[in-house]
Amino acid sequence: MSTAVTITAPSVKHILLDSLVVMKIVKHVDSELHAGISEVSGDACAGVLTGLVFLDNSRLEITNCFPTVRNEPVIDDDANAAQQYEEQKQQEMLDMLRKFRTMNIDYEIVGFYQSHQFGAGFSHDLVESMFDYQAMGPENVVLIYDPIKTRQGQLSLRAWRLSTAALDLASKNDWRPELVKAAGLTYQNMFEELPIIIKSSYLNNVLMSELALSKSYSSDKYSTRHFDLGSKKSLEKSVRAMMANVDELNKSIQSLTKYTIDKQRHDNMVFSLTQKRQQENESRQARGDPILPMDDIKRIKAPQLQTRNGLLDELLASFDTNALADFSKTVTSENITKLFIAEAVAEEKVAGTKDRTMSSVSSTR
Amino acid sequence: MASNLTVNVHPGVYMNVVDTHMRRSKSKGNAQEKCMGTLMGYYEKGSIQVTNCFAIPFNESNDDLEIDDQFNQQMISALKKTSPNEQPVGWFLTTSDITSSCLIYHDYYVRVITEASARRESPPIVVLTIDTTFSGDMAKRMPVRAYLRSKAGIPGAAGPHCAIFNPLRVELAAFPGELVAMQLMEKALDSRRREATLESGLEQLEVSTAQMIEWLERMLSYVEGVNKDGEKPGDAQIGRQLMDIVTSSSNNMQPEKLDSLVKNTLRDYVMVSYLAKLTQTQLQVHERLVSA
Repeated sequence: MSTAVTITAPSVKHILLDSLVVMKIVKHVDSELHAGISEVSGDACAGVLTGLVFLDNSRLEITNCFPTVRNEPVIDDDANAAQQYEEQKQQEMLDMLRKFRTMNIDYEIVGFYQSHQFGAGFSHDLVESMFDYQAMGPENVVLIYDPIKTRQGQLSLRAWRLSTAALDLASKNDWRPELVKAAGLTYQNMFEELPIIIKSSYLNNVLMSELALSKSYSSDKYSTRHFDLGSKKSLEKSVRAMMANVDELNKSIQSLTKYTIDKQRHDNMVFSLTQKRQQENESRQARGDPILPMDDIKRIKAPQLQTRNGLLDELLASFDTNALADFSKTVTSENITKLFIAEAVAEEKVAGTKDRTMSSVSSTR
Repeated sequence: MASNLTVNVHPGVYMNVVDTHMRRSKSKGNAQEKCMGTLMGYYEKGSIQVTNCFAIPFNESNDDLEIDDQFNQQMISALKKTSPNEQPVGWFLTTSDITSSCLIYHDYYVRVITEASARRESPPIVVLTIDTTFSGDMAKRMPVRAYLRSKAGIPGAAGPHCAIFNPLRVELAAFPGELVAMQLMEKALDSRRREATLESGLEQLEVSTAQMIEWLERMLSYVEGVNKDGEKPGDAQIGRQLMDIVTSSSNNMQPEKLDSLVKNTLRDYVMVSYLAKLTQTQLQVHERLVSA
């Protein structure tokens, strides 16, 4: 990452998304899921967004997008090959942008999109990519698409960007606890969410009406997917992911506590040694002997936080857990509502037992 | 010939064509009224799935038809890297009618697709037309048609005299996520600024329940109308469907089953919701402690 990056504060307040982009993203992710590719090589279906920035309206218009090739596993540890691969990817991106320009499509990159289950998947790589894109243009954002929630009947797209304080720390790639605290960075103000509005052109509206009249569509249109009561499996998965995150969070908290205690002890030790040295020096001065240097004290190493990226892991894990908790919260509250609706529709109620003490978790060994 | 093929088009393709049409350049002397491009997809038994498309620059001025072949080839190879199971299956044109110049385009595409496809005989190549001109008798609609070209001629003569474009059936096929996205975009039809916002689950439930209630009321009034000494003619098919609905609902929603379902799952959901909220509160508390 380049060190001399000027960080300008973004001024865009909301995002206008063209319906074409929504459809393209959904199609890309869904077709990969359909073909079973994502099961094999992990998720992170990604692509680049293009559009325009309107500073006077403080909005970002995203008008087109294209998918990028997913990462091939690095076969050999030849640094040259990795770099060549990077260059090739860059070349492909530029190529596509040039084609966009020929076809009168907006060719300015305004961000990228990624698909993550349950809308959570914030990792170090993501932060690095976000930083790269925001360094290219301060208004760039990342769109996270959640295919699971969409499959359950509710389109889920969220736009994030790194806050200025986070950008600052990311540029130095230095996430030590002191700096993080000095910047006042918590997991809540590390990423900013932007509201999304989906916009359709007039011709698009005609197209939608035309398609609505087509026979095959109207039978699927009123899909009662969001009435479905059986979302238990996805809930299980999200809870398990939350557990994994909380475990990681636990680990990083323990190392942070250890670090704080160590640092405290180290500071005390240095202080007391310096005091003693000074006293000795004074007494020596009184006697006329040469004074002892302080260098060897300074050379005692300060303790380091054990994790690789300082506090970044902890922030990311918290944010991830937060997103997962959001998902679980909304899904469960909706499901409870659906259950009550179903109960209201049932004709006869079983007499008496309002006893709700049973659980569906039978002995699962 | 295999003209009982169905062309299953995904909604993203339509939207891309419409978008390209709006962005056609007006600067080449005579304003181009048409857009042309390549369709990508895959072949299935009995149908052709069209899942993606892109437009290519072309020029149709003064009987001098030009297509940018290099652009086409480059785009095809670029798209092949990201979606390896898609291949070119045809081409589209935003026009109201098939003209003789389409023959030449079609020949070009036959060449490109046969080169790109792995099969030995040439696969059926689809021509998709989307009429964006709002002219003629379909002035308020935007019809979509697909064709397959076949050679035709007088039997017994040496070779085919002409080509006929056989119309094919076009249907909309969509992944479940795409259907959800389309439903959301239809909300933009109602808003004045053609905008739609992402909705929360509860709002969606509200809207759908209201709709269900409306449908049930309509059905109820219909049934009552029929029962009142034939005020409305009773349609046997509708009656059969109604009976299907009632029997399936009484089968699947038996009171004991429903009761146990409600009891079992309600506790689970409440527990998960509690745990999720607890985690969030814990995170917030932790942040306060750490950053204090």
